[in-house]
Amino acid sequence: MQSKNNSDNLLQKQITGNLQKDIALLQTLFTNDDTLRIRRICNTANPALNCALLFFDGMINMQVVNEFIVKPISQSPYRADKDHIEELLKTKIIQTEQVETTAEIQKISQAMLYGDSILFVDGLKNAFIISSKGWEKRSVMEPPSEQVFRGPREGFTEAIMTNTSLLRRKVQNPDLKFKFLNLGTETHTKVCISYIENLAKPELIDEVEDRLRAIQLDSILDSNYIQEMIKDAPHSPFKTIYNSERPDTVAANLLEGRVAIMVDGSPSALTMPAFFIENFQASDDYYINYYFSTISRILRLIGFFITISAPAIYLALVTYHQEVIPTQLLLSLAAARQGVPFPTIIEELLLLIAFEVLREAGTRMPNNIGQALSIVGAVVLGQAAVEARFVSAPIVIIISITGITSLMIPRMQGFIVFTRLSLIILASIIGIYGYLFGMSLILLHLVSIRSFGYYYVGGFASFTAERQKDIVVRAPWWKMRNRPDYLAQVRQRQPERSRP
Amino acid sequence: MKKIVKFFFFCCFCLLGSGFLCGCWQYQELEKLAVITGAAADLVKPEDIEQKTQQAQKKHESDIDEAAKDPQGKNEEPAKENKTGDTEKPQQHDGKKVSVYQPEIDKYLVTTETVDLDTKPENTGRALNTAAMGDTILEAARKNTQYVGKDLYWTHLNLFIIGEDMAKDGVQSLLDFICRYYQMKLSTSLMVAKGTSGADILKGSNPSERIPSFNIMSTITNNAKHAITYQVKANQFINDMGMQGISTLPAVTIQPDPNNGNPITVFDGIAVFQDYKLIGYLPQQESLYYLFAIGQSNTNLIVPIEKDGQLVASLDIQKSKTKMKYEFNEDYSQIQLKLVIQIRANIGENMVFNEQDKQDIQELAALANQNIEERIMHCLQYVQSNFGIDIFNFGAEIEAKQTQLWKTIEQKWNHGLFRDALLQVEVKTEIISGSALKNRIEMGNEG
Repeated sequence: MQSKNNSDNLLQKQITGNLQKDIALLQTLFTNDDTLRIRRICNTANPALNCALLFFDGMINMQVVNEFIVKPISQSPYRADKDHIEELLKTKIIQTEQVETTAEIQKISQAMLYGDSILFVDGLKNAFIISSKGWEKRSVMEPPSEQVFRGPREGFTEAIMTNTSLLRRKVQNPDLKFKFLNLGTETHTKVCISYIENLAKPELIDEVEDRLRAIQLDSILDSNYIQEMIKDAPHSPFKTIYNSERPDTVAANLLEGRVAIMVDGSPSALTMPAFFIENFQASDDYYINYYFSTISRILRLIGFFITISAPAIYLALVTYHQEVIPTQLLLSLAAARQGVPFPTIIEELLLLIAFEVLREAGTRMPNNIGQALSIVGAVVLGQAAVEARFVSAPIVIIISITGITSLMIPRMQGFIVFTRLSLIILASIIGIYGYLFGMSLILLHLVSIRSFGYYYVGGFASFTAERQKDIVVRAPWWKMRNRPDYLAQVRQRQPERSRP
Repeated sequence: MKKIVKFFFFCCFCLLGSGFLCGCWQYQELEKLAVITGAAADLVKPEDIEQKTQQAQKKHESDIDEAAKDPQGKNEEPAKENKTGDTEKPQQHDGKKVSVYQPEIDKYLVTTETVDLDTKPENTGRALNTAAMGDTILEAARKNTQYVGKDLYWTHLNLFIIGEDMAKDGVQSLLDFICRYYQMKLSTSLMVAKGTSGADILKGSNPSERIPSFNIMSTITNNAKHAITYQVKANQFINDMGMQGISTLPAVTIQPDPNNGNPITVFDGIAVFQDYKLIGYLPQQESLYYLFAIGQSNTNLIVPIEKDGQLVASLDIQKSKTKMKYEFNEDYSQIQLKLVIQIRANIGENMVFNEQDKQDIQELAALANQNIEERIMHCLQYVQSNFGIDIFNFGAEIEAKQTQLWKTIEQKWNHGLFRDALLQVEVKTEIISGSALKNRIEMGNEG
C-alpha cells in the first residue's frame, strides 16, 4: 500500500531539468524492474547536448533506436544554445516519425510502458517521447472461429493499432473516427471507440462513451471484461453486445450506424447495439450468392429451433402425448425402449451431459487427439451404449441432431445449453405444456430486452418489407437500398435504380 | 437480486398455474404401454358359457377343498386360465358360500391385438391377441390388462371389429364405450365380421402383414386405388344412426385363399344396420354398385360390359358423379326416385370394338350405360325388397330441398314410402381413352 502511494505521488510530479535527478526519479518509479534501460548519449560537437535515453528492453525496435535516435544525437554537427536545443532535436536530429515533448511523469511513464523511448536532455524541463515501438506481435491471420468460404481472410490481432489500421483499410473515409480511452486502474489498457461520424447516432456514441468511462475495473484483459460491464440485461443469456474478430464484419456494422469498441490485447472487437438476428448472420452471407445465403440463414434459424426444442418435444411426446405419434413410429420407439433401465428424462440428460462433456473436451484439446475423441464419442457413446441397452437408439438420434444443430450457431452456445436444459425439465414435468410455457417465457424475455436503447428483436418485431431485406432473407445487394431505418442516421445506402 | 427472486416466483406461479390448464397429468413410459392396434367385440358364445360354468364349478369345489386345508384363505388364484380369470373369487372368510357364477353376466368378449415388442428380433412385430370377458364392454376391455402385464393403450386403435352375434344383438353399448372412454378415438374404423366372430378376424392369416389389423386398415385406406370397400368411422356411424337409425358398415369375412386354400381375410359386402342392429348384408356385387351409386367408391372400379350375354369389354372407371332427383305424385303417397350418374372411364379391356371408329366407341358407351343402369337398378331393387330402408340417403336430399315436406313424410319414409318408390337410373358414360393401347390387338390378319 505504501509503495502504491509512493508511485502515485511520483506520477503526479514533473521533471526538473536536472538530468541526474530526472533519471533517479524514473529509477525510483520503476524500482526492481530490470528491463529498464538507460543509455547516456553525448554529442561530440556540442557538449551541451548531454542526454539520457530511457526505454524498456523488449518493447522497442532496436534498429530504430540505434540508427535514428542514438546515432544522430551523438554525431550531429548542429550547434544551438539551450533555448533552441529542443527545437533543434525535434526538427533536425531525431529521425523517427513521432516526437512529443512533455514534463509530466505520468505521460512519460505511460509512453515508456507502451514501447516509446524517453529522451532527457540536461537542462531541459521537457522530456522527449520518441516513438520506437517494436514489441513482438502476432501476424494478421484468419480467425479460426469465424472462417468463411469466400471473402477476406484477415482477422484482428492483439495489437490495437494493427486493428485500427485493418479497419481504416476497409473504410477509407475521414468520417471513420477512433477515440482512445485508458481503462483498467492497474492495467491502463487502451480501449478504442470507433464509429462513422454521420452514420452512427450521436446519442448512441455518447451512451457508449459514458458507459465505458464508468468502468472502475482494475484490469481489462479481454473485450469480454467490457462486454459484461456495459451490456444491457446483464443476467440475460442473450448477447446484447455482438463481438467479432473480422475487420469486414466490424466495418459492415459501422456502416450500418453501429459503434465498435476495440481493446488492446484482445482480437475480438465489440459492436453495439446488437440484435437477435445477428446471431444467425454470418459474414459469408454477404459474399456468396443470395439464394444460397438465404437458405443458409433459414437453416440456421430452423437449426436453432431444433437444437433447443428437439429433446424437450421428444420427451413430452414420448412420456405424455403418445397419442400424437404415428402408430408405426410409436411401435418402433416402444420397441427401442424395451429393456432400457432408465426413464426417458434420465436417458436424455445422461446423453446431453455426455455430449457437452465431449464438446468441452474437444475445445480444450490439442488437434492431434481430436480424432481419438470423435471415435470415443461416436462409437462408445452411440453404438455401444445402445447395444448395451443403456440408452435407446431414438434418444441417440435426437441428441445427435441436437448436437449437430447447436454447432450451426456457435454464437449462442451458452444460451442454447441453458434453454435446452430448462425446456427438458419443464417438458418432463407437464409435457408439451411445459415446453410451450418455457418458449413463451423466452419469447417474453426476448421482446422485453434492449441493447443500448434499441429493441433486441429489432427488425423482427415490426414487419415491413423494407426491414425484411436483411433479416431472414438476404436480398441481393442492388435491392438493399437503405440501411436499417431503426439504426442508422442516414438511411440511403445507394440511390434508386443504381444497378448498372 | 430482488428482481431475480421475483422472476423465480413468477415462473413457479405460472408453472403451477399451467398445471391446472393442461388436463389430466398422465406420465407413461413407452415400454410400459401395450399399444392396441386392433380390437374386436363379440358376444360370449353359449358353449363358452357352458364350459365356463363347468370350470367355475370345478374351481369352486376345489377352492372349498383348499380352503378346508388352508383356513387362512391366502391361496392365490392362478392366472393361467384366461377364460376364468374374471370370475369372482369365492369369499371364504366366514365360511359362507358365495355364489360363484351367475349365468346372465359376462356377456361380452373383447379381444385386443397388441404388437409384441420383445427384444428378440424374431418375435418383434408379431401380433399378440388377448381376450377377456366381462359384464360390460368396458369391463371386458379392462380385464385384458392382466394378460399383457402392461397398461393397455387404446388411443392408437384404428380398427374395431364387431362380431356378427353382437351386431345382431345391438351395438349401442359398444358405441357408448367408444364415445365415452377417454382413450378411444371417434375416428376408429368400424366393421362387421360376417358369419364369424371378431376375434377370428383379428387372428388373421394374410401373408403380407404380420399384424392383421394393419393389413385390413391399409386395404381400407388405400381404397381409392382398388375400389373394394369403403371406410366408416365411428363418428360417421353414430351420426347416421342418430339421423335415421340407418347406417352401413363394411363386412369382413374369412375365406379360403384361391391360391393355396389357406384361410384369409377378405371384404365381403356391406352390413346394413337399423336401430343399432344388424338386419342383413348386401352381397359383394351389390355393395360395389351401391358404393358406386352413392359416390363413395368411384375410382378404379372395373365394370364388365356385356352385349347379348357375351362379355365384350370392360371399363376402368376414372371418375363418377351422382345426382339424386325425386318427384312426388299429387297426394305425396308415391315418390319417384332417379339417380343420374355421369361417368368418365378408360377402356380396361376390349375384345371386339374398333377404337379408332367413333361409332364403335359410341356403341361401347351406350352398352356401358345400359349395363351399369341395369346393375345399379338391381342393387336398388335388392335394397328395396330385402330391407325396405333408404341406405342411399335419398331422404337427406329431400330434407335439404323441401324441409317442410320432409317433416310430414319422415315417419313414413322408411316404413313403406321408400319401399314403394318408383326407381329410375340414368347413366351417362364418357370414354376418355384406351389407356396405353390405341386399339385392340388383332391377330391372324398380318399373316
